[in-house]
Amino acid sequence: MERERKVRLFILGLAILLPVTMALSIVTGSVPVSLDNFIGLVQNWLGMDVANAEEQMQAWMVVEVIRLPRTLLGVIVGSTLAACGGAMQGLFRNPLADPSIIGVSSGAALGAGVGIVLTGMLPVVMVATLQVYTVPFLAFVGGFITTIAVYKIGTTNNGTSVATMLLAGIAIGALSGAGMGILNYVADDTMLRNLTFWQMGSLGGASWEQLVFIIPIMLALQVGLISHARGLNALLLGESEARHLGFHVQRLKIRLITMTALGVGVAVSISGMIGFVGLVVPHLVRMTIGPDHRYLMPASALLGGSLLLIADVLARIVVSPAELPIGIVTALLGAPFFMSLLWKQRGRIG
Amino acid sequence: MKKMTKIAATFCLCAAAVQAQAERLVTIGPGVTEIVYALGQGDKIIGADDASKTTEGADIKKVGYHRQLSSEGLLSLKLDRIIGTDDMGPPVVLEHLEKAGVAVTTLPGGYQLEGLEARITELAKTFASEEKGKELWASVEKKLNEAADLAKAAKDKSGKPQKIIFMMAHGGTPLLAGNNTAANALIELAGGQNPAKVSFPGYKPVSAESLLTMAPDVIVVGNSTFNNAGSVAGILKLLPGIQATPAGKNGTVIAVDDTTLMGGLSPRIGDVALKLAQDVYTR
Repeated sequence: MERERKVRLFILGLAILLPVTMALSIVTGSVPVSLDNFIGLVQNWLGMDVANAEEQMQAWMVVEVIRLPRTLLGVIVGSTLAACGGAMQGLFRNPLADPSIIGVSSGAALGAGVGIVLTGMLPVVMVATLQVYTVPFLAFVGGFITTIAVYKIGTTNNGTSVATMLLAGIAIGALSGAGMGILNYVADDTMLRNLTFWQMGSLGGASWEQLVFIIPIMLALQVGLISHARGLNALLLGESEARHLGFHVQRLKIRLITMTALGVGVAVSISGMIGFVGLVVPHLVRMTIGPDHRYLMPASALLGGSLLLIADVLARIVVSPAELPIGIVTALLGAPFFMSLLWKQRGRIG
Repeated sequence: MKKMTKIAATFCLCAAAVQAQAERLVTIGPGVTEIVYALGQGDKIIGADDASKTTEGADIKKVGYHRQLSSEGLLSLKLDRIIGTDDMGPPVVLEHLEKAGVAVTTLPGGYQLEGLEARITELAKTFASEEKGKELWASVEKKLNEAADLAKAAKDKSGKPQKIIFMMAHGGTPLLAGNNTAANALIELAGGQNPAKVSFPGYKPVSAESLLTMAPDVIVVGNSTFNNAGSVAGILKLLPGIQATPAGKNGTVIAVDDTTLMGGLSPRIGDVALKLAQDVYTR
């Protein structure tokens, strides 16, 4: 009972934290936006007449066109990455597993690299416009192909061997690394910088047109992953145990892998490589409330969204008017925190 | 969406009204920033990308890497106009700026002389100082012609052009400048022939053996590389085999001001090319 209460409190806390960080993300930035501006903007949305509307236009535009989409993108990407990480760690029964382990991230990176270098070879005028579409698309394709390859290698008539998949993921990662090396070699200076920045991630490209697409896909995926919580719990006991408990293990595995590949593929294709969220967030949650996926999955999604937003707020303001790549911030925040937790708990984890 | 355009439109109107005062400029790319200074508009600059060199002590904010600009960061500078080459980005940031009523001036980039001329002419037009633009370009052209004359005289005398390579070493394997680099443009403007040009585009590491087959007569390095190595002898030790090339045997290593090679050709290219030609042909 005590545990149950703790879990409820934790999730409640996270559910409060998320809107708070969202509000923080909307009010902070290098352009000053006052409370009056916000009130004015809401009145404007409601179709009311606002006094001195013209003076407020820039503040409104910043909130509407830049901060709101960026905040929503941060929430949806962070929560998806964290939920996918949680599912992977459950599926592989390995606390080291994160989406990169099934090859999604490395494949996506290679796909994006190919996109950046290929489009970079076209006449300059076309590059910028083409890259906007081709790079995310190729990143997604790359991630998906590698996931399928890893899955095929790990699957025989007897089902999918999680251990083989893990090894295949490492091999594919090495292969993609070599591919990236070749791209780095043939790339010119501009492409090189693009590759480097893409690998460090950014939420700066958020737009409403994108969000209309992404939010429904990612929300559906998250609901899908969370609804497999009982299956993930059963898998924790072992595959044959899960089978005895009445789960169709093979089908469960395929579903989890497909959903994760899709979620991470889309996230990576839109915001670049944002490391550490998928690995650290589910861990933090597990250390606090235990491994029950019914709570672990939604809690991870909530915390992932908040964490990425906090990282993004920092990325925006520390070097303003320039901007830090968000991947640097997530690693800088995530890694030491994670290490301190490991230090405190080192007696308890086997 | 409709409301958005309305907001943007009204905002443009107020931006236009403000423009009567001094225009607030953000310049992206050293090549562009230098032209703005050369046209005498430097005091309008309130922000520039990290690679641009700006007046020391002036209140000019660094706005980051030119392909990774931040919409809100830029808007917080209350800029009226942003000027850069077609490398400037990402595109969504430029869209945001345009929506906020900022004038976005995109100039042709690249390492060709035509690009530099087009940048100077278009910027001069933007600032309504066409005369100054013409003067600036004429002075660049004059120096380049002088450099070409020096090279031609030397070639007539020896019968073949000088083979010149550009080497860059910031720790690790030295890189050679191939095709499509500002360094290659500099070599050609100084009347030299870059043997690495046919081999690869961009900056690439080369093996000692291929360096021997290139047989450069002159090795050009940037000031930063030269200072790192400390001396001509230091440069000749960067790669085994350099000492066996004609340039290595004669110790013909020439250091140039490499700040002019970053981010497209700058209007100082005339000075640098002429200086290089003088160093190569009158040594």
